[in-house]
Order: sequence, then C-alpha cells, then structure tokens
Amino acid sequence: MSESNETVDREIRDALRPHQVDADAFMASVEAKVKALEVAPPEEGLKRAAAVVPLSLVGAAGHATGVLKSSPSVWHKLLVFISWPAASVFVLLGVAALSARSMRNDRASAGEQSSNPGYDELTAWWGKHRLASGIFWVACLLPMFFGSSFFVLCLLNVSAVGLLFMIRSMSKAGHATRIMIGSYCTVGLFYLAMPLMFMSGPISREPHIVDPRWLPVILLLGAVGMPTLSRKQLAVIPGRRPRPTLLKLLLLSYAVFLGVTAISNATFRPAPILALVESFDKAVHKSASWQRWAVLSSWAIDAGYQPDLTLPRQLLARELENGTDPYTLASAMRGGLTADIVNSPAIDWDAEDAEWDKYVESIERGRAPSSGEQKHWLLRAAVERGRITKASRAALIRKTRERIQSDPVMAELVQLIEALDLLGGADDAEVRPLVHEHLRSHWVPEDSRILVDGGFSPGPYPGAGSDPVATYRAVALMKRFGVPEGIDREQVEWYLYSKSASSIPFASLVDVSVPRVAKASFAPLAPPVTLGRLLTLERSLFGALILVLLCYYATLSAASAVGRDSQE
Amino acid sequence: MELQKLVETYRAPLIGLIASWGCPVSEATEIAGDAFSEAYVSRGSMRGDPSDAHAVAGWLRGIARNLYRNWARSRHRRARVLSLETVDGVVDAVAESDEPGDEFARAAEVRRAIERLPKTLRQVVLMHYLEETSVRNVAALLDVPEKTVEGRLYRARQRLRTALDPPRSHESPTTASPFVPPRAEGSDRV
Repeated sequence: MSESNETVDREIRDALRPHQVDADAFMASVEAKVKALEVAPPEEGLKRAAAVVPLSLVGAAGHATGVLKSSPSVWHKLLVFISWPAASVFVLLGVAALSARSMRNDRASAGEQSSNPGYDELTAWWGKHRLASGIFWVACLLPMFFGSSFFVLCLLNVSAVGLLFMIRSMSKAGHATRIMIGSYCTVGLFYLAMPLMFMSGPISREPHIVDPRWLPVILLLGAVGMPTLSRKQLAVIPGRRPRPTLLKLLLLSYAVFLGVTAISNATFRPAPILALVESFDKAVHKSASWQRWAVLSSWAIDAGYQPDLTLPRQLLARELENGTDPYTLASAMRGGLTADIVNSPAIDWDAEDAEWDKYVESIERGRAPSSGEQKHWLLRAAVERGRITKASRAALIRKTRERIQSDPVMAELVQLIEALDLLGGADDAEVRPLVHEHLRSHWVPEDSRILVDGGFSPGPYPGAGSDPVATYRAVALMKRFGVPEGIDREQVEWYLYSKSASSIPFASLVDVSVPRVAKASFAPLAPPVTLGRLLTLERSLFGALILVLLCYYATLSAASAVGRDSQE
Repeated sequence: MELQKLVETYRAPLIGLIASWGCPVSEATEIAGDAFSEAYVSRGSMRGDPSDAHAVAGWLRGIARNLYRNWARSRHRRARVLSLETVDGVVDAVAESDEPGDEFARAAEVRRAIERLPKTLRQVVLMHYLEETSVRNVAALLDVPEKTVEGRLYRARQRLRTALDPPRSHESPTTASPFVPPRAEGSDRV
C-alpha cells in the first residue's frame, strides 16, 4: 500500500474512531435485550396487530419494537393492507345502502303527506347546476389538503352569504323550508368538520394561539345545535315526531372529546412531570432514558418542586454496581444526584482521579478540552471534591473558552457553558454573540415541508429537522442569553406546542414530557397575546364561527315557510 | 448460533451498514443491538444453514433492514442522508478524543468527505473502517464477493484522497495520532 493510501487509511480511521462502540457495553446491551425478549415474548396477536396499528394502541410498551413489527410475514402484511381498503369499501357501501333506503322512505312519506311543487323545482334547480356546485365544493375542499383551512373558510363564508340571499328569495317564493335549509347546513358543517378533525390538530403547520381542534369543535357544535325546528313546531307537523338523533349524539360526543383534548394539551400540569421524575426506577433506553430524566428532574428542581429522588437514587446505585457509564453519570448529576455519585463507594476513585489528572495535564499542555460527557462527570466530581487547582482551573477555563469559539454543536455548546459555570469562568457578555449566532444557525424555520418545524436541530446540518431535546437546550440558552434577532418566537412556541400535544386527553406524558417542559420554560419568552395576533393567527377560528352563525341565520330566515308546513 | 460470536463478528459492519442507510450512528447502534437480539431469539425460524456465514449474515441484514425501516417510519425521516454528527451522544464522542483543534477540524472534514461518497462506497468505508472489520465479513453482510468490497474500498480511498486537502495527504504516517487504535490482528489488509 502506498504512503498516500496509508495516510487516507489513517485519516478515515481517525475520523470514524469516535463512533466506535464499547464492545462490552454493546454485548451487555444485547444480552439484556435477549433476556427481556425471552422472558416476555410478545403474543402472536400483538405481533400481527403491531404490523399495522401504532404500538401505543396495542399496549405494546415494554416490547422491543423491532420484534413486534418485523415478525409478521410479507403475506400477513399484504393481507392487512388489502383488508383495510376492503373494509372501507364495505363500510361505504353499507352507508350508501342505508342512506338510499332512508332517502327513499323520506321521499315516500313526503309524497304521502304533501305534494310540494317547490321541492320539485328546487331539486330541478340543483340538478341543473350539479356540475358547477360540484366544482365549487371540490375547489373549497382542495386547499385543506395543502394546509390552508383559512382559505377554505373564506370561500365558504363568501358562499354562505350568497346562499343566504338565495334562501331568502327562495323562502319568499315558498321553495325552501327551514328543515331543508337546516339539514343542508348541518350536513355541510359536518362534512367541513370531518377533514379538519384530522388536519387541524397538532400537525397544523400554521402557528396558533389556541389549539386548532377548536375549529372542528365549533363546526360540530354548530351542526349539532342547528335550529331547525323546535319540539313544539315539530309536534304540529303530521307524521313528524321530535326525536334525538344518534348522529347528533355522536357529533356532540366527538366535539366534547376534541374540546377536552384541546384543554388538556393547553394546560400545563407539573404533577405528571413530577411523577415521571420520582418514579424513574428503570432506564429502559439506558443513557438516553437518563438524559430525558435529567431534563425533567433539573427542571423540577429549578422550579422549586423538590422532587423525591428516592427511586432514581436506588436506580443509580444499581447502575453503579455495573460500572461507571459517563453518559449516565453526567445525566444523573444534572438531575440532582451529584452528591450520590461523589459519595458512592462503588466508584474506584483512585482510577478516576488518575484519569482526571491525566486529562488536566493534557489540557495544560495545550490540548483542546473534551466536550464529551466522559469528562464532564469527572469535571463535576472534581469540582465537588475540591480537586481542581488554581492553575488547572485557569487552563480549563481558557481552553473551554477557545473551544466555544470553534462553532460547537448544540449539545456541546450547552455542555461547555455548563463547564464554565462549574469552573466559575462564565462571562455571559462575551459568550452572548456566539450563542446568538449559534442559535440562529441551529434554528429550523417553518417551510413548506410536511412536518411542523420552527424548533432547533442538534446541529446545523442541511436537511435536518427540529428535535425536542435540542429545542429544550436552545430554550435554556435563550432564557439566559435572550432570544436572538431572526428567530420567530411564534414558530418556536407552536413547534413546542405541536410536539407536546397528545391526541387523547390526559394521555401519558412519557413521550411528550421534554417538549412539555420546554414549552413551560419558553412561556415567558413567548410573544404576548394581543388582539391583533389573535385575529391574525385565529382567523380560521373566527371564520368558522361566522360560518356557523351565517348557517343559523340562513336556517332561521326560512321561518315563514315553516309556518306554511305546519299549517299544511 | 452463538450470540457472542455473532455479535463480535458483525457488530461493527452492521452498525456501519445501518448508518450508511441514512441513520445517525448512535441510532444505528441501537438498531444493531435490536437486530442481534431479535436474530438470536428468532434463530429457530431462520432459513438456511446456521453454520453458513452468508446465510447468517443475510438473515441478520434482513432483520436490520426491517428495523431500520420501522425506525425511519417512526421518525418520519424524509431526508435520509447520512449524518455522522446528528445525535448529541455521537457529537460528544467525536469531541471526546482530546484532539487539538486542527485535528478535530480535520476529522470533521474527513467525515464530511465520507458523507459525500456514493452510497455503495460509503457503505463499505463505514463497515470496514469503523472497527477494522475484515473484508470477508463485510462481503458476507453485503452478500457480494470479497473482490467487490476490495474494489469499492479502493475507489473510496481514491475519491477521498482527491477530495481531501492535498497538503495534508502528504503527511508521513509516523505523525499518526497516538489516539488511533492499533490495527486489529488478523484483519485483512486491503
């Protein structure tokens, strides 16, 4: 091999060396996973369900995701993929058949009760303009699929005003009854609410002040409360009996469900977060679990909640029996267990002190300081145990400051600032411009992509999306150093809201705990709610409200025709 | 199928392979761990001879691919580009090596050059160089002949040499970082 080849060889090895895993730790991790799988193998039904249903819905927590998802054969998956459309078609056919039967019955009964030439004329009118109205409705619904519910509502409001004039003229001519108009409006509101139920939740990319679920709630409640006829009025119509409809009950239930979910998402409750902190007795994902716990625990401590760390303390003691994992220890220290580590007899302090001394010597010789967690816990321990000399402190501060200037990534910057704080060398005024520039380079503004953005990425990488943990760190930096110019706080706020929202009320916070805490931390930095912002960001909500009111007015405008119906 | 042997043989190339599909190395490590455990637990349903290295490697690769797809779906990753530094833990590890600033920057430059390699070349570089895995094991995991792997490594080195800063490429090997681990005994020279 030529010299240049060897050089390239060496450089590749140098570059990839940090990615090498600890062979023993990896083996131990695999053995633990094998043990977990052998002790509790997933049920066969669970495996099948996991192929197509989200794991959280099949109660698969605790099972290895891969084992669940990869177990079904190709044929099983194919069968499931085919069966879903088949089931949908079956349901649609059933609904169509029932609807046709219902319409036939209604027409028959209407024919028996009264022959209404106006109705025939109206039917003829709609038949004549079917294509135009179809195009109009498609044009209304299409923008929804591109995320612009406001545009849809504008169109619908314009059309509703037009409809209102038409209804009034038709009512005067005796063509439109209140039942007819009310029914059209009810169905229209329902069909408008349907896609919004799925599209205006936390996936909405436009920032909002209130949960977008209120939009379908307003439309659904509007449909449910449509003032068609009172019980008294219905009672005088031959063959008409007042009856609560199942559809209205379902719509009402779903509106309540969405509303409660929206309230649940908008309400920050520290109790569940504290419960997560205090009940941490198993690090399922090892250091990653500890990292998340550290975020929550440090927040709880900073907020003055004084969590009971008995269980995490016991877990740490068990972890220490298996050796010192630097990532775990650094997180445990951030989470408030520094004293437990420093006083732990399970740690071989002679060996750790020797390693720390060697590290400090290398710093004093001019090496760049480590930004890795491996040395960070040793730094914290050394500070706590008073093992840092004046000279080494000066060297560490000097080299850490130099390292901050070298454009570190998010986690590294936070860790370097932590190190300066520990060493007493932090100078916020000096670091602020760097931090601001760093935040700007890590911010991922909302764009035309499908997912909600507006948070921060772990590194300034092209194509990288926002990450909740990186955003939490960025929020911590912004709380200390201020929000730099160029960062849209509305987008950050909405990103955190969308990431911390659940699709069901009072859901488990395990997956959304970090963004929830970040959202609470960001609250003082969020832009204030002004009337202008409210009108701008919630224009869809007001549009929906206006639409419902217009529908009500249109329905009530046909009152004179009801009188005629009742007389007949 | 002995678990320890399986892990020792394919740990590094499997992590490299998964990373080359477009996932951060730390995530690739997790996925590889899941793949080993699942392969071992489900070894009874493996088709083929368990003593055949290619059969075992193919079985492992299939499981890893399924797990990776699940990961990609669950993370809604649209831009499946290789990012060696995306995850905080990895970044920490990168910076952990006590490298002086220029060496740190140089390593980052090499990693960026690796990221820019075509997929097939990047794949073998990650699989082979991560822990000096033998060409034979890399070939088994990719289910290609050893000569193919050697050829790809050769082309990858050529491209990297061209991409990297020429003055640095003339450095003597004797200036190698003392932190570079020694070449594993018995590993194939390429």
